[in-house]
Amino acid sequence: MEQPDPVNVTFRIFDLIPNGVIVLSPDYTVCFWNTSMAEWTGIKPEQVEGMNLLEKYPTLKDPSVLTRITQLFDGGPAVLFSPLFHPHLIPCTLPNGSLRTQKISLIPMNYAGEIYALVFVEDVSDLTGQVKAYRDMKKIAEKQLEEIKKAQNSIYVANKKLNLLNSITRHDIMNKLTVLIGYLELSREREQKDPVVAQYLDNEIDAAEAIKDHIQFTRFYQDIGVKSAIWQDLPDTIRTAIMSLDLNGIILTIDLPDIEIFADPLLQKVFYNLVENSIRHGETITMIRFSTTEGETGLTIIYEDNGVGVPFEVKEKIFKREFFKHTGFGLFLTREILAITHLSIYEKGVPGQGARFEIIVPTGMFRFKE
Amino acid sequence: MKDIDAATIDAIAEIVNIGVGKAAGQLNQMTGSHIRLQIPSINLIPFGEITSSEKNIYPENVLSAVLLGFKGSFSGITAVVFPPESAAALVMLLTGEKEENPDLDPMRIEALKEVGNIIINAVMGSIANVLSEHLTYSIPNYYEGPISEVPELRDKHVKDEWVLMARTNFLIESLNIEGDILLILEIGSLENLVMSIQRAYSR
Repeated sequence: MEQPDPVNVTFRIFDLIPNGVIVLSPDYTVCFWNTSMAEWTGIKPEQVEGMNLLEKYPTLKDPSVLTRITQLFDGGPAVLFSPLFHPHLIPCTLPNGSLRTQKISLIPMNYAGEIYALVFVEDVSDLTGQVKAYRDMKKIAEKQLEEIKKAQNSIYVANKKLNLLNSITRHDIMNKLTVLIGYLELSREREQKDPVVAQYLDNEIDAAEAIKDHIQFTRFYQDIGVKSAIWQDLPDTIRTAIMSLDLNGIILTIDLPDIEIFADPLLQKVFYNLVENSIRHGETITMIRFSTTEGETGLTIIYEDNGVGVPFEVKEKIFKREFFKHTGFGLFLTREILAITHLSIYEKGVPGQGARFEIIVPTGMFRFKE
Repeated sequence: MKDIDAATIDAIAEIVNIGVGKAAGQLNQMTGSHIRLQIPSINLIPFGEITSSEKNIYPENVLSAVLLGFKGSFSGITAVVFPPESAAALVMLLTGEKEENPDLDPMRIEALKEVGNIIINAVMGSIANVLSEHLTYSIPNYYEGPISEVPELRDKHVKDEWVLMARTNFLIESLNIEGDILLILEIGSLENLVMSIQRAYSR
């Protein structure tokens, strides 16, 4: 009775793994062919074991393949054949008849004083499909990104042109308005006889001044959101913002940690406006204080003074467009500037005890400096 | 063990040069382009310096490398190290794919592993052959990241021990693809290596 080949018996354990495994002797004889290889190729072990693998698969004789395998039998390191360069070195089929994409590793193994090659054949067909899908998606994403960039650039150019047009038009209107108001005031000075005409002239001057306010407003508003938001050092921004204001008789406290806020570059104007409002409308003001508190949802920047405060009935109205005065950068614009990076502002003070503005900075829009 | 005589350095440089030259030949065959090789630099350094960020042996944050450990009468690690852009460009060249911003997806990594395997096997095969030494090898491994995190280097607990590092830069000029072939030799085996070299030259 024929004895089983001891090499074959030793490697039968590889029948249990879901990858193809072949054992080759130094003369390229197939000593072992596992069940996965049998299933994938339709060649049973008994049909191939004992045969020369190079004769069975002549593509292996290609010098770019064979010289590398020979190196292994000469004592060299493992040899890898990648699916991109050698997708079907030992052709194996899928149930649908198409060829499996494979990755092959040959690992040297000392056995009975000789070097054998343990050939691992991995089926990476699924991976190939996934990579192809990934590459297709990447191409689509890159194309979309390119289109977004083009659109952004077009918007930027259009916005720049509109701003330029606004600026020129505003300048021309303001010039004409100044002339108009001047003549109306001269007319009002000369009109002494008819009180009805005088009243009409007063109304005309008021209307012209209101038009001037509206035009002035557009000048401030057009700058908001034009430049990208940036990280800004909060204490430095506040100090710079109020540098030009007269704080004579007012004790200023900036009680802030080293913190940065992600906001529109016009953030300075926000703090300038708050302090300027306190000086202008606070009446009894002797103290201004900046501080922060941190909660679960983010950071609150608190601005307080000890002036007359804001009456209950106008706490929200002060942030409306109608409250804009040509003398300063209104709270409407303040709220708009902050909203660009999802910051919000509310007045929470007690009337008669002082104003208290709270700026809510959501998580992600502030960071502590290292 | 910080000193090594000039003759030994020359002998090691020559043996590395033979291996690297063979590898360059393989790379030349694969790419069809001229490969410019620098003369190997041979240095004795504490092992920790290879992965130290202060020493900046590899200042790039991320690299792509194929590594192979070997043991025998001399032991160490051989690696082919690329900046990731060069690695991607090399694979694109070899596969003939065209893409504006190629990245190293799993299929391309496998291809790069094969390229690294060919280069390293040429180096080690040639060195082992010239020295008639039998070495045993680990399975080749691919790594992408900062050099400080290379598992083969990071996990060595011999940071203060001195190693011999032979580094050869190669450049595929026409395509601006560059890389390094690195051979790190454990110092305990330096004497054996020198003896092997002497034996080889006396034959």
